[in-house]
Amino acid sequence: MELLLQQVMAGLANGAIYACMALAVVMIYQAIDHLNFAQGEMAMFSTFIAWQLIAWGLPYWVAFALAVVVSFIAGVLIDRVLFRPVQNAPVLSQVVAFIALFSILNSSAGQIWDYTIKTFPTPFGHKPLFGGTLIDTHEAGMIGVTLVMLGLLYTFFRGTRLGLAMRAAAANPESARLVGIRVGWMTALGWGMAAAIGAVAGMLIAPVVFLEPNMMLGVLLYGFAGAVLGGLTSPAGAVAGGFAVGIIENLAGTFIPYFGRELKLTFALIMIVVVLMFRPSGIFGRRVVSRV
Amino acid sequence: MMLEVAGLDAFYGQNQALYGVDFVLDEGQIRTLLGANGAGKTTILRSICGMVRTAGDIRLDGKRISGWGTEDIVRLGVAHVPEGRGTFVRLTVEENLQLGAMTRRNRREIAADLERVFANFPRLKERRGQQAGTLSGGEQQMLAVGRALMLRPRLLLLDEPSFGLAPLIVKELFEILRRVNADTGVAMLIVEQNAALALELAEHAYLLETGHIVMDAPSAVVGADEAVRRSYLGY
Repeated sequence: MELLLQQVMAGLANGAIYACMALAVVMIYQAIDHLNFAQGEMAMFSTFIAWQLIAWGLPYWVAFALAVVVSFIAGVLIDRVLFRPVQNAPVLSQVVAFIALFSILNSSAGQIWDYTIKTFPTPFGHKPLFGGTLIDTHEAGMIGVTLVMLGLLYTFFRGTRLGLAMRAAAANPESARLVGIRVGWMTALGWGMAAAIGAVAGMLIAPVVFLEPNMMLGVLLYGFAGAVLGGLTSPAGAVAGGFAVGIIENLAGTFIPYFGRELKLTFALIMIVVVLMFRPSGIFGRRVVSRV
Repeated sequence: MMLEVAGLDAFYGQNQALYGVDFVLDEGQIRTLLGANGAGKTTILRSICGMVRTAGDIRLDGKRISGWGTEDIVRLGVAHVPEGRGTFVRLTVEENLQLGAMTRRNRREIAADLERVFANFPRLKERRGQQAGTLSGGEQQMLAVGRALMLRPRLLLLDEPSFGLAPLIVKELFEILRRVNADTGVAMLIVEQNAALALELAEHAYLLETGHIVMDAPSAVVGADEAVRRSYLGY
């Protein structure tokens, strides 16, 4: 029983990483209606920018804020420069563009900052929490930040006119234009916000997995799994899905014999497939109800 | 003249859908576009909103708007209730109505207009928190008209408002349109299959055949025409 509790707590800590990433995944899905395979690399690159600023002597929170702002602007630029020209192209062309972006960011990061593993600071410290080894202050801080971001997003989308306009632009671009919404800018804003959320996620994840150009490879996959599990249309669902993936992954690794640490990543993929088979809209995703 | 259209051609890819269409609409007027399926009625509305490729001249208050982006034309006060109604099915009724006023700033006026729409369409008030996709066809059409009115438009373009609705609901809807026109002075251009109804509401009618305007006359004249009666009114 104690082992179970311990693994659940450890899973929760991992889950916070995935939840963070899943939130960024849902954000971009809302804006452009499919996944961005370069999302993890964008987050990684943002984290490197923060790392560089800190290395130049800026205080942590200043570097944090600057990295978020720069990432937002970069997200908007990626939309304008890269995504916009292929917006009406077949999905496959868009996937290729995302993979190109993936390689460009990955290789540039390697070129600029090389592939040696770097440590990234955390403002929360690594002290044990509740006097045990179950969860440390950084992990608790990460869970807290994720929940705060979720709250902010919820307020933005449900409580503001701009949030409503963004939802409308994503759901039905043609009708959105007919009520005067500038759909192109809403998409750009979605990219910017996804990049900014990804930057926060990256900076929270880096102290755990260490900073290097390939740090997000596994994380993004788990982020996808979390988002799919919770439902790609629901930010709260994605966060819950991220936590669930973290917990299930840990439990499976501990309690299923021969599964072990090595097959954990496989588990994320199995989870994506199973959820898509039985509940394509995710556990919290909204199915479209319509009457003719 | 508020709306002046001259020598309008429209194209879908290589196919030309309109040939040199001329018509006008003045402030507060209701005019209707009649014609068979595929004659180009919907294309005219889509041309005004910048949703198809056109050649020729479309002027609103003397300003040339051909080639403008849809959202910029809407911002001039042109509301379009499209075919299929353009409802945001996943959003609530009230959110749909709020979206209609997206280009406006004055929150108090918007709130007042929301109440006015609810007064015109009491069913929408009952269902304000409900997902719009769950409404019946008639209610969705009311919602589409309500959303268009939330813009406080100067020009309202209606594409087949009676489509798929029960006769009683159609009558109610047209009654409301007449009342809104009288109250707010919004000009309306209505595309309609139900020619009898449209001629009753509109003062002037244009008859379209394969992308050409073949008749341009007051509704009474068009309604009395032998050929129109046989083809479009069925008596």
